[in-house]
Amino acid sequence: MIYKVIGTALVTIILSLSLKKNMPEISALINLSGGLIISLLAINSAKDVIDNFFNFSTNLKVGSSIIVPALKVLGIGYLTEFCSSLASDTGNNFLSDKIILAGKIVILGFSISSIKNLLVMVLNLIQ
Amino acid sequence: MSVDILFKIGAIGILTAVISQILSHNGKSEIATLATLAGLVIVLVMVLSMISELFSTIKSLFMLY
Repeated sequence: MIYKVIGTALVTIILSLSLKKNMPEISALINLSGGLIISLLAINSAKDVIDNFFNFSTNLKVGSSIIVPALKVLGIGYLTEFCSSLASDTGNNFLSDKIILAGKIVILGFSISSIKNLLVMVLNLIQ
Repeated sequence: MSVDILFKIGAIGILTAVISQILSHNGKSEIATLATLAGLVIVLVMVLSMISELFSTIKSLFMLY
């Protein structure tokens, strides 16, 4: 699997460099599609890891109340990082920082419930 | 969904570059810009289908409904 990743990366680098001078837009698109292919390969191999992690967590008492928000935060973090690094790669760092800020806010929105549970637990311990 | 899409996009890019060079040298620079735009749109459509597949995979994997 790792050889496929390295092969795709090499092809992407060479193609985007060859088209950098006279077609900069298409070289940026080649970078994007190379990144897409590599992330698809990585995600397909991460699928079975997450599946048996999820099966493992169902027989725990904690159940999916903790796992599902964690997975959501992971997914949003990955998407935000994907888009912001593409933006900074093509030169517009301003856009990349704004995307990171929006991603943080969305993640905060998801994790509010678990933060509340944590605070309730701590308060019960103190009293 | 492997490296052949990259080669297709590279081929379209190189073809568009050559066509726009030829057109601009023969004095038709407006058509050259249109040819460049056409090549860009074709590449965008191909990349768009890959992006939608990535997003559906991520949505199903991380339960981001």
